[in-house]
Amino acid sequence: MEKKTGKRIMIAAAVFAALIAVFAAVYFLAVNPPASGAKEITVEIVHSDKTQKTIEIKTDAEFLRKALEEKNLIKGTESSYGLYVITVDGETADDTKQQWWCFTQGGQPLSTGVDSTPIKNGDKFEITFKTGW
Amino acid sequence: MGAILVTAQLALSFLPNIELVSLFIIVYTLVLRGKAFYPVYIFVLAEGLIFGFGIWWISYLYIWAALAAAVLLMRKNESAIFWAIVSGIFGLLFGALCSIPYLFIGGAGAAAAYWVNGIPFDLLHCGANALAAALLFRPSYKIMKRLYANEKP
Repeated sequence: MEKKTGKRIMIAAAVFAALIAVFAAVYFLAVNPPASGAKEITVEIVHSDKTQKTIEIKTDAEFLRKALEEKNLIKGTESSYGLYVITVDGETADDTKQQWWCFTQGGQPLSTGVDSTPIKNGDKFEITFKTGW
Repeated sequence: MGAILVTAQLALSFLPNIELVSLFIIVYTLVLRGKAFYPVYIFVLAEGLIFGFGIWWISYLYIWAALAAAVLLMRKNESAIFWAIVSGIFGLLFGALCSIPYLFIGGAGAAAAYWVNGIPFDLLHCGANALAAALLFRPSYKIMKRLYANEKP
């Protein structure tokens, strides 16, 4: 029994080590080459003073977060569910004053966070400063 | 037990990908066998009600159940080291399993990008899961066995 358990642990440990090596290799090999900009998306930012800024982004990113980060447009805090965006285009929302950034696409609220919102060529997103939950 | 899973998840939710849910599901399944799926799905439903039924929630429908099913298949093992390794492997595969819905939403490229971008978090999840199980498997398994000594799986 002891011998069997030891063998199982050895097999599990070998699988474990191999998986870690494969995952690490995939990540380092895939660390992205510079974006050549196959997709073009439009991002409209509405600041707290109602000023609007429209930004065209050329990117190869698959998800919104990377496209916005390539232009240094967003900052935030990491959570289990991805980036919680606090700062957009240099303006920071203060959640103690119930301020937040509302992400919409074609006027419709996004049901996913920036990490998991896929983008395709021609997409248009709006990021609007809001006060009040 | 479902409430314990939710509480454990919420208590550590400020730490990305560090959780005790995997360990508790392993222990529940070892003690309760198939009945462990009840707390698992109570947890999944509660997570959806708390955080909203987004794409991530679709993956929750099978991820935690897959862990319980894997534990059922390997239930004869009682070694903390073995379960630490299994829990670590589960943490490592978490992002890959979560990426499956993106296959249908954004195609293989989106799913692969989702997985690859999350690998550093999966490695963190892997290490934290393995450590949590290595330290806490024995005491939590002992408590569960004592609590459910008369439970027929």
